[in-house]
Amino acid sequence: MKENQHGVTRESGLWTGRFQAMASPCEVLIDTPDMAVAEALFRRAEEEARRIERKFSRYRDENIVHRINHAGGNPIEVDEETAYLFDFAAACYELSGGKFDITSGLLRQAWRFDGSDRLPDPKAIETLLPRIGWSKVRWENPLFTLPAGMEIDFGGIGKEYAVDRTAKILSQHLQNVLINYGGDLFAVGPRADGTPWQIGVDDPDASSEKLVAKIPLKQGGLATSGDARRYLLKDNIRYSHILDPRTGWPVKNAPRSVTVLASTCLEAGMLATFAMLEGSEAKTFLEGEGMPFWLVAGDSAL
Amino acid sequence: MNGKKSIRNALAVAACTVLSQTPAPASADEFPWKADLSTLYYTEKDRVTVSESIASLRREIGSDEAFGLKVTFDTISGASANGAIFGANAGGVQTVTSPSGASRTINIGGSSRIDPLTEFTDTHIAAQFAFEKALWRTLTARAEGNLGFENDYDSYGAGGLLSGDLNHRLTTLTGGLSFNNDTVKPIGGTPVALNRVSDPTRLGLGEKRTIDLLFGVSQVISRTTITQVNVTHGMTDGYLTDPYKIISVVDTAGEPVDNLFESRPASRSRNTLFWRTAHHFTEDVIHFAYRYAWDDWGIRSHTADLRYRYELARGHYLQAHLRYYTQSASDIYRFSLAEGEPIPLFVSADYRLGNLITQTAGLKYGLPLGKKMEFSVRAEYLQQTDADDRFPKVDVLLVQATLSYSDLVDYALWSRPPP
Repeated sequence: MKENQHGVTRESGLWTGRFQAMASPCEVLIDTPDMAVAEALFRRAEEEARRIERKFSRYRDENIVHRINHAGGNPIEVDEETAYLFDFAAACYELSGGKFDITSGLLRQAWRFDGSDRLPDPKAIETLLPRIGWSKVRWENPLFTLPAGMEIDFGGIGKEYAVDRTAKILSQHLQNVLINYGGDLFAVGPRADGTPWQIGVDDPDASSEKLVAKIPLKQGGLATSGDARRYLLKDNIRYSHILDPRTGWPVKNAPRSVTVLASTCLEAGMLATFAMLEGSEAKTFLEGEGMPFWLVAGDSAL
Repeated sequence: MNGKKSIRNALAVAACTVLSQTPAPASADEFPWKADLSTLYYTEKDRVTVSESIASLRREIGSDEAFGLKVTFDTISGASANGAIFGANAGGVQTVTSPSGASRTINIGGSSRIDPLTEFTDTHIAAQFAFEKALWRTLTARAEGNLGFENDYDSYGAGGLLSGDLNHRLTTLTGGLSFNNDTVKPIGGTPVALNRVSDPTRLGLGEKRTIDLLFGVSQVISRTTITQVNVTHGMTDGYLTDPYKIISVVDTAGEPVDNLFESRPASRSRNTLFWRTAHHFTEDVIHFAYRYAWDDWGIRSHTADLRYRYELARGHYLQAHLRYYTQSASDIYRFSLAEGEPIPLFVSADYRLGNLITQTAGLKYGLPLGKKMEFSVRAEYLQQTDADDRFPKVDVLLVQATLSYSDLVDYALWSRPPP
């Protein structure tokens, strides 16, 4: 099968391994002269990313998310790892004042962000709202009870979690590693010669052709949240794909993209998402938090 | 409302909690395997020949569980010294052969003599299994069991080990405890200690129980050097006598006049102190080990072991091995008893309890077969010498071929304690 043919290749003095997982291109950069070590670490990284994808993807039939979403209102006993993620999701819900909610995925049924001007029928959104809200679930470790008709989705956490987990595993063997799963990344340590990795931040409009920033990174997590090509445009109003689960409607005046540096990829990812959810207050929010960030301002009225 | 600053800090705490878990198990199709198949041929010149097949398997279940299984099958045949003295006036007969089991008496020129070599054939099958689990990020438990069967010997055992990492995983402490229960069951029963060999009286089976305690410290000194110290204490009680061993009573001319079954104490405690260190050069690896062992039967032994692995091109390697073993005799060891002297309570003429020196030299050659397979062949020559020069030297040739398969990449300089 295709999956196993991937191996590391030598690119500009680094071993680079690539694969596709969690609907994103994934990349692991390993700075060691030893190909066997690089190959083994890369295999370990891919294995962990695929494990997390299998376990937490809502598109799979045989995993914990599927079981919870199809439990018909009955409690489901979850394993320790899932429990940790629920605790984390609960914390994010609290910290964002209810704006980050892993039960908000149902809104996808109403919203299609295809760059067109087709806005959903407000009534369709109204009928979805009663089935959305973390406050309606019952989470008593290890039992999780989801009211029938609701859905959970770890999409907003999964990639960042996979990056941090992979980093943790690889860090036991080598420090000179950079993990990048679909733009969410973590540097376990600097390059072998002690110099930082150079990270480019994509222009949200011209993907891969123009960089809006170049960030040197020795250690830590970096994540970007944005709406590149995922928006609706009607009557000169740009509807970002960042939805407020409390209203079912996009956050107004959200930045085009926010990149945050933090000590883990999960933190960076959540802070970037929270900033987007702050809409026009994103910059104020980020400045208040005091960690390094890069923001591409939105222009909602074109 | 929380202040803005607290969101970042609270998030950091929450993320840290999520990531504090030990890595979760991988899915079934990605459990890595490690397997070895090996065949070994061991021959003592004019004595015992052993042919052994070993299959071992290890499977990791995610990164915090693993199980292992090892099955060994031996066929043993040949003759081993039983302790009897043949005497000089044996009419030129050096040895005789006899069917399996016990010593035999032969008549030479009107007097009866015991053949100093006991012929035997046996098959031995043994299985060992182990299960390892990470209990906590730095704490690993290992449970093991073993069983083994021969025609006249059964063995069952179980044990457990706990390892904890300290000091950023640079130091590992290991504590272990194991039990073994062995049954000695010669055909017809066990002889009565110190009875004449001609006496047909036999007792029931012999049973012995062993408890072993282990404590070890392993320390990573640098990225290329690791060292380890283990202390063990073992206590055995029960039937420790060898039912096939004999001691001769000799007259002043040194001719055997009588032969008695040997007799050993019903308990033994044994201690070892073991140290080893390994160093990685850019490619080659040197490995040195020393063991001091002492027991309450008066045996003291020293073992020095040196291995050097020399990397050739394309993953091929050569490994040289030198080993020196020296042992002082047990208090109960006597070559023979003098006619008329009072018979000691415990006495054995088993050369393995005497003053022994064993020297070993060997060479191993390994070559990769693809990415995950390796073939290696090892040849060793051992010479066992009786320091009192009363038994002939034993020359041993050992040849072993091994085919290994592994999905795992071993980052450690060594992954298992030595046998």
